[in-house]
Amino acid sequence: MMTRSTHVCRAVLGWSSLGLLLPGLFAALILAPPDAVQGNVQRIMYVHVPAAWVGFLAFFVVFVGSVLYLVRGTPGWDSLAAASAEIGVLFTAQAIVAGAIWGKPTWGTWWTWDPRLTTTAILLLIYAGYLLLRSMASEARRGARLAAVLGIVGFVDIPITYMSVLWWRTLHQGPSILRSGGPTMATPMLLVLLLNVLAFSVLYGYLLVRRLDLQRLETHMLAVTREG
Amino acid sequence: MDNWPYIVAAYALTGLSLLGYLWYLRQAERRIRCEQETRHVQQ
Repeated sequence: MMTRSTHVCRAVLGWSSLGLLLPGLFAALILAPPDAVQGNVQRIMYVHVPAAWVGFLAFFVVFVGSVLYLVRGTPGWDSLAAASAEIGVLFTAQAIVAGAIWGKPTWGTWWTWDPRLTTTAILLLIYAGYLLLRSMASEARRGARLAAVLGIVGFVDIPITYMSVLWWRTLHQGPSILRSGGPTMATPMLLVLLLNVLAFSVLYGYLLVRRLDLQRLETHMLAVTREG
Repeated sequence: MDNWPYIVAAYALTGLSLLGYLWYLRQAERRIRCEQETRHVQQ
């Protein structure tokens, strides 16, 4: 079922992500200097931020796939959206958990109803709902169309989540990279963060290809079962 | 101690969740391939 090009793509993405994650891990835990105020606990940022970024990226892909599925009706776009939603839920949950673990020693609490945390939790619920909607639909095509609508509408939470630290008073720190006046982060820390963002992004690509392969297998099995 | 248990917990949970997802993908693929082979043999 897997073509040679898919096999090559999987291998390249897989080994590339490992080749970036391992040095990223080493840089995050050993090379990067401790924060002047937070000390070493700030190292959690090197998984928290990349995970959150991949969540945003994945849900953007869901948005694009959903729009194209509704416009063109091609099942491939729906498959892309579904696969990306699953991965997006995983990484957003990781970002929330890592953030909570960082929050306990830093803020003295695992959770607070801060705008950034709250909107991220809503984002997780929206796309978990997207997956639930697909699985519970009585008819696959109807489920796909309803999920596509949710995937498009739910995307509005992403700019709200990102801008929440600027629009409202929050405990969560504001943007330290994409801001007017340039990054506020020390260069060694910024480089380590960008390395891990790249590593997580390539990993997302690998997981997406794997998940799409699985979907193709499932679709093929379903077709064979119906013919039988 | 400088909060290293928190750091280890965050990295470990992230890593374990990724490994868990990869395991789920692998198991699902194996299950389907096994079903495909069973059908092929039956035919």
